[in-house]
Amino acid sequence: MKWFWYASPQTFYPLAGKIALAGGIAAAALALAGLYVGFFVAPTDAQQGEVYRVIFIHVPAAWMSMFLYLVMAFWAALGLALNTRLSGMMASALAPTGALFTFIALWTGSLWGKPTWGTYWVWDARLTSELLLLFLYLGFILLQAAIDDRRRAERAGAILALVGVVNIPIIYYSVQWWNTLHQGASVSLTRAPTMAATMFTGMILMALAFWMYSIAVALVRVRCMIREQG
Amino acid sequence: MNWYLFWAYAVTFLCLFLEIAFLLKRSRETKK
Repeated sequence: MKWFWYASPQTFYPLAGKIALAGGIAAAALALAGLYVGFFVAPTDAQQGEVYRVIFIHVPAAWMSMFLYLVMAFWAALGLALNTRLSGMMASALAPTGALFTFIALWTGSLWGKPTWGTYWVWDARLTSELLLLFLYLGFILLQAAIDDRRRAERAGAILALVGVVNIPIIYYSVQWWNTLHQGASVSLTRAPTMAATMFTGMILMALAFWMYSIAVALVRVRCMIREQG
Repeated sequence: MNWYLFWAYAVTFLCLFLEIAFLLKRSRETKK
C-alpha cells in the first residue's frame, strides 16, 4: 500500500468514494441485523423490562463518541506534525459525527436513566465528562469555523483536539475512579461480558453498524471538502 | 409501547438521517 501516494487529496478522492459506498451499505445491513437481534431475538430483561433495549444504541454511540475523538486527535496531530492537507480535512470531517454520537449517547442514556434511576440527569463523573466531550467537539467545530485562514484554523483546532484527549481516559475510567451512579463496564476486552449472549450480539452488531456509518459519512464529508478547497 | 424507548430510537435515527440528508445536499452543491 502506497500510503504517501494516498496522502494527496486528489489521489485519495476516488478511493474515499469507493470506501464510503461500501461502508454505507455495510452500515445499513449491520444496523438491520442489529435491530432484528435487539428487538426480536434478545429477551426482555428480568429487572428493567423493555427499556434496557436502549443499550443497543446507547453503548455503541458512547463507544463511538470516544473512539472518534481519538481518531480525530490522531489526524489533527499528524496534520500538525507533517503539515499534510488531508490530515486536517480528516480531523474536521470526523468532528460533526463525533459530536452527534456524543449527543446520542447522552440523549439515550438520559431516557434510560429516568425509568431506571428515577432521574434524567445527575452530575456524576461519567455523565459530566461525557458532556465535556460534547463541548470539546463543539468547541473544535466552532473554533475552526471562526478562523478564516484555513491553515491557522486547522492548527488551532488540532491543539484543542490534542489537549482534549486527556478527557477520554477520564470518561472511560470514571466509573472505576469515582463512586458514580452510572454502572461499570458490562463489556471489556479482558473478561467475558456480563450479559446474555443475544444481547451482546445485538450490541456488537450495532457498534459495527455505527463504525461503518462513521467511516462512510466522514469520507463523504472529506470528498466535499476536497471539492470545496480544490 | 415504552415511550422512553420510542424517543431514544426516534431521535437517534432522526439525527443520523438528518446528517446523511445535509451531507448529500452539500455533496450535490459542491459537485455543481
